[in-house]
Amino acid sequence: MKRIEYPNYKETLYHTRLKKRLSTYFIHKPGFSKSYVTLSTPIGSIHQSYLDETGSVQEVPKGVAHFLEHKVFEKDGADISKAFSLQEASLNAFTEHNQTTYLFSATNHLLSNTQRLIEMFFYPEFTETGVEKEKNIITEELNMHLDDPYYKQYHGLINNLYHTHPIRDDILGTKQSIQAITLDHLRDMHEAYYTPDVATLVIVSGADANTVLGALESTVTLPGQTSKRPNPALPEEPSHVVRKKADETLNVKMPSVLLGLKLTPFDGSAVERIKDSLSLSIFLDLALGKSSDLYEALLEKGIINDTYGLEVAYEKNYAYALIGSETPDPHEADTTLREAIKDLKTLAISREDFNRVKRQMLGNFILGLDHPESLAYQFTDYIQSDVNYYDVLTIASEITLEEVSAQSRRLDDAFLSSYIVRANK
Amino acid sequence: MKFETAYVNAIPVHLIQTEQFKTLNITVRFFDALSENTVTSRHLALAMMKAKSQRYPSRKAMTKALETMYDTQFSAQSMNLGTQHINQFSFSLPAPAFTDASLLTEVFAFIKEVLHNPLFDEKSLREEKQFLDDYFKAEYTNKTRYAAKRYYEHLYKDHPYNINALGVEEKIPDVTLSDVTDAYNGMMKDNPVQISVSGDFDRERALDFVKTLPLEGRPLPKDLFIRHDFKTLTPVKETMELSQDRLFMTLRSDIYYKDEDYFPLSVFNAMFGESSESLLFREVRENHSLAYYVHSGYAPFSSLITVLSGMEGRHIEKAKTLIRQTLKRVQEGDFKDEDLILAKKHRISQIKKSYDNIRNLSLKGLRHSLFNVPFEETSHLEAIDMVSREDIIRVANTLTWVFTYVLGSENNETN
Repeated sequence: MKRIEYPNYKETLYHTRLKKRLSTYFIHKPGFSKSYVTLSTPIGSIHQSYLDETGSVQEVPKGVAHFLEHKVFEKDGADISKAFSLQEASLNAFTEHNQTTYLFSATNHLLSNTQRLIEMFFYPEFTETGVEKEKNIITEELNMHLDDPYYKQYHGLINNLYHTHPIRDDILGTKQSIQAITLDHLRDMHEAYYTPDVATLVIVSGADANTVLGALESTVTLPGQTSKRPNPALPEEPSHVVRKKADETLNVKMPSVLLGLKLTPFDGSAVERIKDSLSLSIFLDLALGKSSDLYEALLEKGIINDTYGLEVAYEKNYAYALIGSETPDPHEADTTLREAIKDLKTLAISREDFNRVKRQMLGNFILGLDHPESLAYQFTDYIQSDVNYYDVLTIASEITLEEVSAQSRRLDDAFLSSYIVRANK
Repeated sequence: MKFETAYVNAIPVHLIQTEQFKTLNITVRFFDALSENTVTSRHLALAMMKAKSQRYPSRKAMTKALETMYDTQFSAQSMNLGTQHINQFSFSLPAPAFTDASLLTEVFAFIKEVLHNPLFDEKSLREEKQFLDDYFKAEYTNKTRYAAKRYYEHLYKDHPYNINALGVEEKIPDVTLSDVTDAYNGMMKDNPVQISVSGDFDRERALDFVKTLPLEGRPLPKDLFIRHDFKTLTPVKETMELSQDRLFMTLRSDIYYKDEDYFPLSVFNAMFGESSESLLFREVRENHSLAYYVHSGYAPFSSLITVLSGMEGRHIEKAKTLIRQTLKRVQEGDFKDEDLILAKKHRISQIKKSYDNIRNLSLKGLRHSLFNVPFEETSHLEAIDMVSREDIIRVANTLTWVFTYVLGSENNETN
C-alpha cells in the first residue's frame, strides 16, 4: 500500500490494488461523519458492443450500459439497496457517456457496506422477470427527460456536431432499444466491462485507512479472467460538424440558444491531455466566461440574460465546448455569439487575467476538498484519464500564458454549430 | 465542534468553530414579515446587491474580485420561512492557511462593500427586473417545476404562504428605484439581522469584524408559522403537451415543527415515501413498475405532506389508488418492524450527514436561535430512536387527503 501526503492541502491519499487487481484509493477526511464510496468502470452509453470469445464484435441495443446500472442492484430477485439502508448507507448509481459509477454514502458500517458494494458490482444476479419489470421504469425515466426542452436542445446540438460518434445517442437509449434489451445482453456486457482490472474503487472517509484496506484485502473475492472483452473501436468521426445550425419550436415561453464548438482531444500522454484540457478551459473562460468583456456587452445589449453559461467536456475520444443562454431573440444571439467567437482568434490574454485564473483554480480546488461527493467524482474522473486529481494543480502550474493564448487556433467556423429553441407561447 | 452565540450591537452572532473544514463561511440574514407588497422590491434589492456595488460597478468587476479572492463563493438568496421573508448573503472562502494570509481581511472588506455600498441605479434595476421576468417565464420550460408551481398556487390559494420568495410576477413592472432603496433601507435599519461565522477562525477577529458593520440588532421573529385550518380542495387537472403526467397528492397533518408528534411524523414520512426504501417507492415503482420516481415530503411549517410522481396518463388512477391504499395499510398497522427500522436509520443518517456541510451548520445555528432547539445532533437522534410503531400508527391516523393535482397530457382524458 502506498501512502502519499499532500502537505500543502493537509490531505493524505492511500493507494493499493486489492488482490493485485482492483485499483483502490482511500482519501482520508478526519472529522467527517459521512463516508463516501464510489466504484466505477469504463462502460457508458458510447459502448454498444463487446468482443466475444473469438474476438468478433457483438452489437447490443442502445442504452445497455444504463439498463445494467439499474439491474446491478438486483440480488435474489430483490433490490439490494435495503441491505445498505439497514446499515445507515444510501446506495445510488449513474451512467455517463464513458463510465458507470455505483456509490453509497454511509454514516456507519463502512467496511461491510464497501464489501457489499464490491460483491454487488462483480456478482449481480439478473433475472428475466427483473429485466422485463425494469423496462417500463426506464421508459418513464426517458419520458421525464423528453419533457425537458433543454435536454432536447442538448441532444439536438450534439447531433449537429457529430456524424457517427455514439455520443449522439441518448444515455438511456430509445423507447424501442429499451424494449429490445434482454437478459443475455446484460450478462454479456457485464462480463466484458465489469472487470477488476479496469474498475476503480474510491473511498473518502474519516476511518482508519490501514484497517479498512487491510480488511478488504483479506475478505473480498474478485471474479477471474473473462473470455469477453470491451470493444475499444469507435467509428471514424470527421472533424467538421454535420450541420451549422438547426432550430425547433417547443412548448416554452423563453427562447434559448446553444452553441457547440467541436474539438479534437490532444493525442498524447495523460498529462499532456490534461494540460491541454486545462489550457482550453482557461482560454474559453477568459474569452467567453462571466468575467469576459463579451458577457458584459451581451448582457448590456439585452441579447442574453443571467442564465448564460459555458461548459467544456474533454474526454479521450471526444471534446466540445457549449455556450448557451435564454434570449428574447435567439437568431440575433446566435449571430452575435458566432461573430464574437470569430473575433476571439485575435484575443490577447493579459498577464493579470492569467494570474487571476490561477488563483481561482487553487481556491476552487481547496473549496472542493470539503465536499466528499464532489471530491470522489473529480478523483474518479481524473483517474479514468490516468491522472491523480491531487496532481492537477501541479500540472496547471506548468501552463504558460502562451499556451493558453494559442488555444485561439481552435476557434474555426467549421467546428461550430448551434441549436435554437423557439417559443410557441 | 464548538457552538456559541455572542452578541455584537445586540446582533446574535453564531460562532461555529471546527477544524473539520478547509473552508470558512460567513452568512448574514435579514428578516421581514412575508408580504405581497414588499417581497418583489426586497428580492430586487438583494439581486442588485449581488450583481454590483459602488466599488465593483459591473458584473464583470464583481466576478473578477471574487476570482481574485481565490474563487470566494458569494451567493444571495431570498427565501421564505413560514411567515418570514429572509434575504440571505453567504460567503465561502478557502481558508487563508491554504491560500493567502490576507484573504480573510479582503473578504471582510468585500462583505462590507456588498452590504453597505450597493449600486442602485435605473440601468441596474432595469436589468434585474428583466432577469426576474425571464425567470418567471422560464418556469414554464421545465415541466416538473411548472407542475410544482401550479400545484402550490392551487394548494395555497387561500393560504398566507401563497407568496413566492422571489416576488410577484405581475408587480415587477411597477417596482421603482425608490421602492428598492426603501426595501434596502428597511433591511439595514429595521430588519432583525443574524450573522454566523463557521470554520477554523479566530473568535476575536470575527467579532471585531461584526463590530465594524453599521448594523444594529433587533429581536428575532417569534411567530414563524401559522396554524391554518386547511380545507379540502376540489381536485384539479390541467393539460398540456407532455410525455409524462405529473401527479401531486396532499395530506393534511396538523402536526407542526416542534409539536410533540413532529419526530414521529418525520419518521412516518421517511417510511411512507421519503427514502428509496419507502413503502410508496416499493409499491408504485418496484412492485407495479408505474413510475421512475415517487416521493413524499413533509413541510413542518404548513403541516402538509406532498406525494409526487410522474407516469403515463393511463396509470394515474391506478397510482392514486396504490398511494391511498399504502397510507391505509400504515393506519391499520400493516407494516413490518423492518420498515420502521429502515425509516429511522434513514432519518438518523440524514441528520448525521447534514453536519458534514459547512453551510448547513449555519442553518442549524439559525434553527437554534429561532426555535430554541439544540445545535448538536444528539437530542434529535434520540428523539428519532424513541419513535415506536404505535407512534407511527397514531400520527398516520391523523392524516387526511385534502388535494390532488395532475398536470396531464392533452391526449389523455382517462384521469
